[in-house]
Amino acid sequence: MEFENYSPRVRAALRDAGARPGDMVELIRDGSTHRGIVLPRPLIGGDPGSIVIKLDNGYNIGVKWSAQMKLKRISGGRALEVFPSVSLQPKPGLPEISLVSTGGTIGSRVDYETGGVKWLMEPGQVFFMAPELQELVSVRHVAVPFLVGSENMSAFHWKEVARSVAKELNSGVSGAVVTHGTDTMHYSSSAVSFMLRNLSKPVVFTGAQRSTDRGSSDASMNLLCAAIVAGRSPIAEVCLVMHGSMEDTHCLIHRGTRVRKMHTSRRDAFRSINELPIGRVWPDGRMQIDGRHAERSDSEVQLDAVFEEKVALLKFYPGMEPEIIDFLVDRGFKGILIEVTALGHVATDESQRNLLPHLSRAIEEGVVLAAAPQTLYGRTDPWVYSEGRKVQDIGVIYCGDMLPETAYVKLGWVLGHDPGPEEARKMMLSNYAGEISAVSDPRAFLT
Amino acid sequence: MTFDHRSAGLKCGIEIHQRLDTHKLFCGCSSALEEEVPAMEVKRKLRAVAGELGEVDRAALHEYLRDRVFLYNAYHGETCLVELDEEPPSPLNEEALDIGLEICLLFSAWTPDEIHVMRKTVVDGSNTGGFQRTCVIGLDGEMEGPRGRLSVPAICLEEEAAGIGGQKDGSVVYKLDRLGIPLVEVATGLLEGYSPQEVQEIAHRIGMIVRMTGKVLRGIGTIRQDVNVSVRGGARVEIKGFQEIGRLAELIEKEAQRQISLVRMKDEFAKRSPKVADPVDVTSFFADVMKGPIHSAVKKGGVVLCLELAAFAGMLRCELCPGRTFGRELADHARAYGLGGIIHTDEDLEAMGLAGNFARLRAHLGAGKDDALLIMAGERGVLERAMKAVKERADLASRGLPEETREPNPDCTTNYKRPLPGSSRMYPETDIPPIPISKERLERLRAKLPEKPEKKRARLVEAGMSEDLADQMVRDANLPLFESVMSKVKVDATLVANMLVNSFRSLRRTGVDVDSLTEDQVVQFFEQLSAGTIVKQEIESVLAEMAQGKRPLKEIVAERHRITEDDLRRIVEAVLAEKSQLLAERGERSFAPIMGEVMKQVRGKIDGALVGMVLKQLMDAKLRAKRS
Repeated sequence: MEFENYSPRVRAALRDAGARPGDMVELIRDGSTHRGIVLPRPLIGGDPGSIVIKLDNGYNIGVKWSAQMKLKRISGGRALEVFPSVSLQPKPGLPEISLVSTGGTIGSRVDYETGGVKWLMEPGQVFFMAPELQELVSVRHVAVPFLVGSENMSAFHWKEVARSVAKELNSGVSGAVVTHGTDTMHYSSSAVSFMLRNLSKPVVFTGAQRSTDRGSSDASMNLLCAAIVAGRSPIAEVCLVMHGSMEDTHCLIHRGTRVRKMHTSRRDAFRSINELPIGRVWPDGRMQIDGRHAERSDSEVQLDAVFEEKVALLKFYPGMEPEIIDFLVDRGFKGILIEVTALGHVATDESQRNLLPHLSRAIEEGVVLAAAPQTLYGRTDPWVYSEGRKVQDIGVIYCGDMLPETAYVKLGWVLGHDPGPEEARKMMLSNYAGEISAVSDPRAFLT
Repeated sequence: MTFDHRSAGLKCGIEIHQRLDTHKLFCGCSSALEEEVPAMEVKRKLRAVAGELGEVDRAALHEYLRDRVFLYNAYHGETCLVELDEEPPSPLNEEALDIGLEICLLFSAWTPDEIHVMRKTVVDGSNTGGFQRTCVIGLDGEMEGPRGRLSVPAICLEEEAAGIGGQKDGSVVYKLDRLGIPLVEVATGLLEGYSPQEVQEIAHRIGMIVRMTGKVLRGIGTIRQDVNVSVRGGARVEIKGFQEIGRLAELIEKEAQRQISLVRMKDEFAKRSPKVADPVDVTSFFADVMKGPIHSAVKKGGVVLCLELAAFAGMLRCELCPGRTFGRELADHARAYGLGGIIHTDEDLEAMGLAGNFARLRAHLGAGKDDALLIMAGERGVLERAMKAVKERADLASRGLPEETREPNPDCTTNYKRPLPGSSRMYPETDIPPIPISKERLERLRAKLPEKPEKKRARLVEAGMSEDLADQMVRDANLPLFESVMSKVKVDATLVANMLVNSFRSLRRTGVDVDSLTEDQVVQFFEQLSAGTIVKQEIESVLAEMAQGKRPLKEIVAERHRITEDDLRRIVEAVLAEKSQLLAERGERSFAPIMGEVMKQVRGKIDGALVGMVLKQLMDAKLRAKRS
C-alpha cells in the first residue's frame, strides 16, 4: 500500500480525498493553504500523523493532519520516480564478463520522491552508474538470483550465488562480477570461495559504501575496477574489489577469504587481514598484481554448494556463561566456531565460569569445535600458555591465521560434506582458497 | 545614461545567506575556520547523477563534462568523516535549528509541523557528497520593505559549501573547514518595480533582522547574497555569492545593463544574417608563432581551432556593461573548461603580432570583412568541448539570452559560471529522519524573541545615542558584538557604537582586518578602555595592532605605557616619601609592602626586577642617611 507508513487517520483522509502518491493536493487550515504533491511517508522517524507534501520549490514538508483541516485533491498523476538507464553497446574484441546482481547499496537507489530505497531491476540501471564499462569489457549476461540486503542473507543465498556464478563461468565468459551489499560481503566471498572448486577464472565481489543517488558514490569506480579484474586479470580466485583509500584513485584486490569489513562507513572499509592485498586496479584499466594467486585455466568450474546450517559463530568474552555452549549442543548444533582471545584462550579451571567441561561435553556429543582469534590479526597458538593447551587437549581445532568469519563459513561448508570428526579437522586445517597459511607476513598488520 | 529600472522592466529576487554561530549542522565539528594547515588531502571525482525525474540534471551534466578531479583539504577539529562524505550525518544541530526558528518568528513565517531535510544536487565539487543538505523551516513570512510589507516566501536552514582554496595540478582545491557550517537562507519573492537601490535596502534589512538573534557569525564571508536579475526581453540570471551588501545596487544595475545590451545585440543581429560555422583545425596557420599561449599549447601537442562567425564583425568588442565585452562573454564559456581564453578579430591583432596569421586564415576560409574569426588553442579533447560551448553561446546571440548562473567580480561585473540548474534536483536526505516541531518549542522561542530593529533603535536613542548613530549601529553587521560588549563591560554605549561603526569603517578602508577580531578581543579592548589603560587618541592604532594578531592586547597596552628608569626613580622616591613613617618603623622589613605600593603604579610598564633593584638602592640610601 502506497500510504502504509501514515497513521490510520491520515490514511483515511487521503483515501476520502481520493489522493494517490504524486497527486497535487491542498491542505487547508486556519485560512492558510499548503499546496504540494502528496508523497508516501518515509519508513523511519517523524510523525506518522503528518502528511508529507513536496512544495513547488522542491522542498518536502510535513503538515500535521487534524480533523479541523481540509484535504483537497487538485490534480493527479504526476509520474513518480523513473530510474535512468543506459544500454551498453557490446564492443567486439573486449573480454566478456557476466554480472550477478544480488542487491545491496550498489544494486539499489534512493527513490527521489519518497527517500525510500528501491532495487535497480534492470541491468541498464546498474550500468548507468558507469557507462565507461563498455570501453573495458563486454557484459554478456546479467543474472539476478535474488535481490536482498546482505544482512538478510544466509547460507541459502551463498549457495544460490555460487550456483549462479558457476553457471555463468561455465558459459564461457572471462569472469564474473557479483554486486553485493557490503555488510556481510566478506562472508559471501568466503562462502563462494569454498563452494566453487576447480575455479579457473576471476569471481569478483564488489559493492558500495555510499548510496548510488549521489555524485560521490563509490559504486561507479568499484564496479569499473571489479569488471576490469573479472575480465582482464589472471587471478583465478574469488576476490573482493573495493576502494583502496578514501580517494577515488584506485581499488584494492583482496582475496575473498582474507578480507573483512573494518569500518562502518568509509569507502576503504574492506581490508585484507594477515596478508597484503593481491593487487591494485585503476578505473582506466591498469592493474598491478603483487600477491600469490591461482592462475587462469580453461577447466570447468565445479559447484560444491553444501552448507551445514546448524553451525554457530560464538565470541568468547570475560564472564561468559558456559551454559551458552550447552544450549547450542542441546539444540542440535553440529559445529561451533569460537572466537577465542588472543593466542587461543577461554576461561578454564581457574575461573568460576570454566568453559572446559562444557566444551568437552560438546565434543563428546559429536559437535565440531574450532577456534579463531578475536584479535583478527595474528594466528592462534595453543602451546604458549597452559590454558591454550587445555583447550586444544579436549579437541578444539585451532584455525591458525584464519579470520573468524571465514573459519565459521568454512566450518559450515566442511560439515556440509558430513565428514567424521577427524576428516572435519583435516579439512578445517587444509588450504582450499588461500584462507590459511603457515607464514605470517610481517608487513600485514593494520594496513 | 542613468538606469531607469521601470522602463527596463527590472525584476529581482534576493537570497541572504547568514552563517550561524554554532557548531556544524550535521556533525560536532567547530565552525571556527581557524586552522591554517590542512591535516589531509583527499582526491575525489563526482559523477553526473540522475535528477528527480530520471534525467541527468542540466547543470550536473555540464559540470560532469568538465571531467574534473577535486582535491579536498581536511583540518583537525574542523573536519571529520562527515565532511569527507565517509560517514552518515549526525542528527541536525538543535541549537542551529533553534536560531533558525527564531529567525522564522522574526519574519512571522509559518514553520512546518515536520521538517524534512533534503539533498540538493550540487556537482561543482563544493560538497563532497555531490549534494547540499537543506531544509525549509519557514514559509509565508513577511517583512517591512521600503514600500510597505513584502513577502518572504521561504526561510531555509542549510549547510555551507566548501570554500575554494586554490588550484593544484589543474584541479580545484576545496577547503572542508567551511563545509557544513549552518546557514540560514532568507529569500524574498519576486521584487518587481523596485530600484536597485531599494533592493539593496531590502537586503540590508534582512541582514539586520537576522542579526537581531545575536547568534550569527560575523566577519568576511559570513553573510552573502545570491541575487536573481532579469529585464524585459532578458533572462533569469542568478548571481551567486556576492558579499559587499553596500554595492548590491551597483551589481544589479550592471547586470541589468548587460542584459539590455544583449537584447539590443539580438535586435542588431536581426538586421544581419549571422551564422556560426563548425570549428575547424587551423593549427598550421599558427606554426610560425613562437611565443604566447598559442605557442605553448601547440608545443605541448595541442591544436588551434577556429570558429568562423559570419556577420559578427564588431560585435565581439561591443561593450555590454562597463568593462565587459561580448568577446569576454564568449571567453567565459571557454574558461569554464579551464582554458585561458580566446583570440578574435575584433581585438588588436597587430599588437599581438597575429595580424598576418589571421589575414592568411581569413583568405583561406573565404571570410569577408563583416565576418569575425575566433580561435582557441589547447589539448584537442578539452578544446573541442570548450569550442562547442562557445559556439552554442555565439549561436544564441541572435536569438536571445540564456538563463545562467554567474559569479561576481570585484568591480561588480559578473562572469558566466554555468547554466542555471533545473528546478528538479531536490530529494529527501534519507539519513536524517523527519523532525517534528512542537508548538511548545515555538512558544518557548517566541517568549524570548529579541526586539525588532525599530524597537532597538528607539531604545538606543532613549539611552542617549544620537538618532543617526543608533540607526547605523542597528544596521551594522557588528550589532551582536555591540550587544555582547554592552552586556559584559560597563562602558558608554555611544563610545562603543562609534567605535564599532565609525572607527571600524575607517580602519577597514586603510586595509586593517578589524573583522578578524574575536568577540573576546573586543570585550577585552573595552575593559582596558574603561579602565583607562587605553586613551582615546590611541583607539585606532591599538585596534590596528590587535588586528595584526601578533601580540595579546595586554602586551600592546603595556608597551605603550612603558616608563623610563628616571620615571621609575621619581615614582619610587615619591612612594618612599609617602611611606617614610613605615620605613622609619620597620627598616628593611618594610621593603615588601613598599614594593607592593610601587608595583601598583608601574606594573606592566617596566621590568619588575629593575623596580626591585631601584627600590632597594633608594631605600638603602635613605636608611643609611637616617643612621648616619
